[in-house]
Amino acid sequence: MTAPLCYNYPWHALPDSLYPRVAREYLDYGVDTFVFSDPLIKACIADPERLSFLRCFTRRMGVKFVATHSPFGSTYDLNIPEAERRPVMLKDHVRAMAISAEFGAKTYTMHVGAYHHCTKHIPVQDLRPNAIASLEYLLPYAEKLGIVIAVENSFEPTNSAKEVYDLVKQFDSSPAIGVCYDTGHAHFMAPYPWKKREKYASYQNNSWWENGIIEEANALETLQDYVVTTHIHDNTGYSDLHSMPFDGTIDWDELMPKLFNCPRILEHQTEINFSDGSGWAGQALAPTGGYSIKSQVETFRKLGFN
Amino acid sequence: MTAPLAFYFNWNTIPDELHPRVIREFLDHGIEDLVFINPVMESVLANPSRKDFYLGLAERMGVRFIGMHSPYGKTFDLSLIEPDRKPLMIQDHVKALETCAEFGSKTYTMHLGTYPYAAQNVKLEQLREHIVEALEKLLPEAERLGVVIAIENGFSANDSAEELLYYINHFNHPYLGVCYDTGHAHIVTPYPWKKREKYHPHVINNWIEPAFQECPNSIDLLQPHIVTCHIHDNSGYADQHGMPFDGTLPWEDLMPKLFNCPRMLEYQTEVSYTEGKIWCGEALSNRGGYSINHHVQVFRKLGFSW
Repeated sequence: MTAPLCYNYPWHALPDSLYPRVAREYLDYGVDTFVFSDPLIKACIADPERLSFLRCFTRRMGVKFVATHSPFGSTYDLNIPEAERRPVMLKDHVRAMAISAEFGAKTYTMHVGAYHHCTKHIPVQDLRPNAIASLEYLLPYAEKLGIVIAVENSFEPTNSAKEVYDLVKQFDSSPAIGVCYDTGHAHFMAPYPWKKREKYASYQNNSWWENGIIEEANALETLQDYVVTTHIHDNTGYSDLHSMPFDGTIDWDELMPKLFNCPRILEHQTEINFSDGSGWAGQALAPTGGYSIKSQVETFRKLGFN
Repeated sequence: MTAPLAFYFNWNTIPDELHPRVIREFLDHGIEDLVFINPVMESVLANPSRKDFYLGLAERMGVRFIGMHSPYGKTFDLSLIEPDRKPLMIQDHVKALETCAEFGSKTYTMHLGTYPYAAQNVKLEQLREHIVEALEKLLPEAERLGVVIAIENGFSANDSAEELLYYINHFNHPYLGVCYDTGHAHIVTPYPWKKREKYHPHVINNWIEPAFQECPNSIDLLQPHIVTCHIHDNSGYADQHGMPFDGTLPWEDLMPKLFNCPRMLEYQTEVSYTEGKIWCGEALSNRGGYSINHHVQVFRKLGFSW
């Protein structure tokens, strides 16, 4: 396994003065590579001083922010329909990709988009052309910057593994298209003999308003040839908890060899929610106080990363 | 060695919402005992709701805040001479002792205080009268609350090992003991390699009459009376509060003695996490400061276990 593992951390929730302290905590475990998270990249797009701060910080501490997650949500997703917002959205993504490239990121993970289908009830087929048009615009920039746009599988009708596969396959001719395989999202969608449909989080039922939840087996097998990066986290199978591996019900023994053998993998990423208690996705699996950096590093070593 | 080791952390430099996260970092190393540092004590004296915050935090996270350090400086030290401030100073320390008892701390470390001697020209004999007067008022309260007042050795004329012994012998009180500060003792210890011109001015300037005097055997003089200790390192010339093994203290000589103090109640780390330039020179820590991981590993190396 040669693709690096990038560690996620909620940097945006820290005062600037604590960035070096947290970096040192990771460095003393031998970790120097971090996920360039969406709040960070959004801040860098909006404020040149944040970008400057991050440049100085990475240089001074000898760390890297790579494996970018694009801004996402109702104003940033690939399939947003609003005509007046789309040009601004695309321009922001180009800027974000340029910043990512400057920091050495190889991948730029993007969401197809769930909001307009799940909340506004716009049919999936009406949103697909928007996602295609967005990628047609962005891919030439990605190619020029040497970055791969990684479309992420999620747990709504617009971004199931099949939807993502069908979308990226249309751009086979571009070296700058790929997939971000999200372990937790796939697990959330997967049918298992032990699953009881009534236990799914209510937001899942709301997302699948049209025809009810359609589970999806073998997401990794569907997407494996396109996987360039991964989001690695766990959950109960019923909600998007972003927990530490081994705290949920993913079978890591079965999954990890497959992840390590994705032919196009460039960067792996942890995508843990460090918080404890109740969150938007339900009750976190983290211990009181949340997850520690120690447990994150040790868990991912146990998964086979070194 | 059965007395617990409490770990120092500069709680006053992090927002409240990050306290659980930092505590979890310590807990995942098996550490449940944390030092109640003097800025926190000062904040509790100024605002009782801060005590509730820390009590709630300790209960929720299953940790103890012990090894309490009194507020110090010219308005809090035992040597305070201003008659208007004195009763208030005593009152503050009584409240602080009550806080110690409430948190389960067995010791309350106090500074004798150098300010009147070094800055106000008060002679040592006169200073002793003020300190004795203050301790006469505080010791009954300490006894009532079951907390031992631990007077700390410094690197000045008025808080040398011999001065501390004056008060220990004067009172011969079960609720008066010594906080042995390893770094302070190291500064005043003569070694063949030391050059007097290399002492930081803050050391030399705190000796007026008599002039700066080294003390070769602070630990041997104070050992029978040590109830707690502050463990840190330095270059031998300045009060850097570095990590053990980053300075020049001979730990292999010292630790067996520290582990054999007959009255020991609580050990404390007192390592400054700060990097770069500090008040007494250049910190010994790595870029970004010391990590919790490194802190824990070093104290295991010193012989502590938990």
